[in-house]
Amino acid sequence: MNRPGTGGVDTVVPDVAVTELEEWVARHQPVVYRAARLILRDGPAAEDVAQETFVRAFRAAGRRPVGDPAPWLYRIAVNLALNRLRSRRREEAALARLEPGGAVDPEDAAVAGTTRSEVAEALGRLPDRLRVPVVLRYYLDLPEREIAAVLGIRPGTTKSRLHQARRLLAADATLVAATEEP
Amino acid sequence: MPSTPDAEELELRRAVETAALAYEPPADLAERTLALALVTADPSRADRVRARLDARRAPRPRTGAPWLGLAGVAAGVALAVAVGLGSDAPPADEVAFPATTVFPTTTAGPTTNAVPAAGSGTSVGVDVAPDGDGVQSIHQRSAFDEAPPAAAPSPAPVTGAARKEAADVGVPAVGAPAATGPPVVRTATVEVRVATGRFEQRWREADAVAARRGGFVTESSAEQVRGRLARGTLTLRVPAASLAAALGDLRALGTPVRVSTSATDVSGQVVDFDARLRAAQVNEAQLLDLLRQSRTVQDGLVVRARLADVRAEIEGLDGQRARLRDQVDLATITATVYEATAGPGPPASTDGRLARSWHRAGDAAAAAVGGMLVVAGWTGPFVLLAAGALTVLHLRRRLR
Repeated sequence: MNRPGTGGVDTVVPDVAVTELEEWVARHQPVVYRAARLILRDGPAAEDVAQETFVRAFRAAGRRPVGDPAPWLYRIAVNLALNRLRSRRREEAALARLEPGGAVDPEDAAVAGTTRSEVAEALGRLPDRLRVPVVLRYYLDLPEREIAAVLGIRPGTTKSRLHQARRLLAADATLVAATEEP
Repeated sequence: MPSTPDAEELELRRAVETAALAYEPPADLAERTLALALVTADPSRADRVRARLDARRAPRPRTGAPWLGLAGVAAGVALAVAVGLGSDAPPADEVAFPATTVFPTTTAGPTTNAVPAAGSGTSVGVDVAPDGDGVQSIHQRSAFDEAPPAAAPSPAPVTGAARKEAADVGVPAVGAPAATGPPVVRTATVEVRVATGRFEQRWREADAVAARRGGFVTESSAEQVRGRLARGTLTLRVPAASLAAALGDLRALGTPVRVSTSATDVSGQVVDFDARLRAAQVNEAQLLDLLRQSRTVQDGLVVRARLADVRAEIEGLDGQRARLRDQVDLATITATVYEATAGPGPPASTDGRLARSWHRAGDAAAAAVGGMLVVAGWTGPFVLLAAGALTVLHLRRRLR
């Protein structure tokens, strides 16, 4: 990929690619970070994903699709997050964890007591196979067909998992109490 | 939860977005990401980014005609030479204290009252503590608001003679309560004549005065007269409260020939340093805020460079305050001790009359040559002009 050269130290003209990267990071990194955080329930891991997403995107900028880069960036982020999740599942299986959904991120306890955190906790109580499609569908706005492709499942399976997640969240007493109007 | 599927989906979407907003990315994540992406994609950028940082911190080369810089340097050198040639030692009642004063370094060990030297890694009156997100901020603590340093322990009893002497020289007597007034820089000069053959003993005793009064010697030099040490000068630093006692000790070594003291109120300088330090610290806090808010690598680099400049300014001001504090805490005494035959100044000539005449003749010849050179310098241009005019006239006559 050709990049314009830079001048002397005091007369640097930013590369077009660098400017584009700055725009991507400013506009999309917060969303990528939050999505990774919801999926992984782990702050440092979410930071890694949020960084790695844009490092890879910058390297592959010449191959990006035309138009809004958001769906492309989100796909990179989701793949990275899912890879981490699969690695963690293997670790958890090896450690023979008993709690469904894995251990809660201790950092989540730091923001306990707010409506936002209660909803986040409710989401966290969902098993990975249900929580991930929920995040991809309702936070990143990925279409069901794309979710199926990313997760490697059939579109019908995606639909049923989303339905199942909705029912569990609807039945979650804490979430109902938090979202009920006074 | 609402019953219709669309409403249910909308509610779930809101709930997920609400949950996501519970998590805020770290403030520096964007900058770290950009730096990592740039360096990973092109490792040579690492040097460029580093060079950009260094270049912004280094003093920028001045633009404009280079000869202006040379002229400035030449003017500065000329001024320094003129000041050096034209100035004598500062009079006793005037202590120059410019911000760029270079202070003599101590050669002996410090006393309990010594303050850390500038550049030693510590700052007087400054606490550095990280705030909640790990960014350092500096909180000022004024050294001049602290209780005045305790007077050094003095083994010599306070006698009526010592009090009278203190009153004579206008300094606080030892044991008197420390005055809670403005900060004052005290200096003193004393010349003592000792009996012939007793110089070395009195010299050692003079040297011991500093340690006995809780101070130290910063400079000392002695010279020979007729083959043996007979004259010397010491510079002593003693706690301000012990100045009178130290002067008394030195006067007691022999016959005091000259004693002078001076006290300079430096409260104006203290106020000035405090004000400049506060302004620099406010500036630093504002720059730290800007750094937290900066979203691009470019902005971050600019703010960091300016932050480095402000922190260097703060360190410089801290160093100057520390030096001023040192000057206030410790008085400076210049003591000259000499035997009667040696005298306080350069030794008298021991040459014979013929030799002195020869020397005088040489001096006169040098003076005459010097005078002729001066005359030549003044008249030279006029002589050249006149010669030129005569040559032109002569040539015209020949051509006619």
